[in-house]
Amino acid sequence: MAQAKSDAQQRQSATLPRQMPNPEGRQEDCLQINYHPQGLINLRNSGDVSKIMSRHFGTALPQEANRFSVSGDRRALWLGPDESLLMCADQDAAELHRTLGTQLTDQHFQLTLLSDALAVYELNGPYVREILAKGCALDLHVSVFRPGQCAQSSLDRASVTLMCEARNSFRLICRTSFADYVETWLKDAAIEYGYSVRNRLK
Amino acid sequence: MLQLNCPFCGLRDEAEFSCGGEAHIARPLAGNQLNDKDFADYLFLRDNPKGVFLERWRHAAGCRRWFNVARHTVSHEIIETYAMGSLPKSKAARQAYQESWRRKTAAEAASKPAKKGKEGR
Ligand SMILES: [Zn+2]
Repeated sequence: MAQAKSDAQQRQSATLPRQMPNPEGRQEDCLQINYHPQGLINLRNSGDVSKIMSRHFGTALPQEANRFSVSGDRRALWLGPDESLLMCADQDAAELHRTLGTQLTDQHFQLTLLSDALAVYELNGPYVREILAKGCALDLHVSVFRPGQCAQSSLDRASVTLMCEARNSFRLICRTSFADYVETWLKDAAIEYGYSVRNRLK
Repeated sequence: MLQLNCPFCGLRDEAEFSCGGEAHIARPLAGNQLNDKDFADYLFLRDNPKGVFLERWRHAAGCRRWFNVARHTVSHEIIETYAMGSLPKSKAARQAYQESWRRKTAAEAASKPAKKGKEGR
């Protein structure tokens, strides 16, 4: 079994290498795919947490649905009316999880560490929206999906959360068990523009 | 492809949703006096109208929240979407709610608490 799996992986990486040049030589058009481990905490809460979040996380939860708030390398994403995803540096997650757990004492809440459960990719390139749109039904036009917006949807049947950081810059969150599939899919979708994978999920 | 208006996320493709069947089926209260036939109306019988149907849907690939949808089963028109625990606002959907055979069942009557003031008389 182990041998068969590694053969399959070799075949896959042989089919789609880590780098694919732009077919017309425009290297600036390539999609940069960067696996970027992040600390991730799912928060469900029943009451007001704005003071606690501002003091201990650095930013309050977003007020509007499908938005995220930013403070330095931290992000707080709206996932549902009582649910958020907190994103921070990988090494800060355990400490933050402990701190918030001791602060949120006045209400019903749930904090779940998801750093290992979810994989985060940074996607940069002038055609990142066109590439994602090949497998995602969201309207990703620059006038609709703007910086600060996030959305849970599916990318060719894989559950993903997309975050628009800037016009040509996205973050993609998927289950770690789907990361290989999503990464391969991104490479395949980006062939016509060229791509490079900077960092790989081990 | 249908688009549904999630009360939280707005218009999204049908593929992101899953349908949870008929809406507005109230569970009889504990201690009800229903016989098996009347209880079966609540537990087993589901409507399948040709026309406006009130359904529960879940935004499965998005915010994962439940909400209600009034949908025409012939034209597939989405008449309205509305929050869990509330009633539809459009005329067609309100009519579908009021005229449903379920409104007259003993199971639905047994889902409402007894009116205060009548007890003990
Ligand atoms: Zn939704």
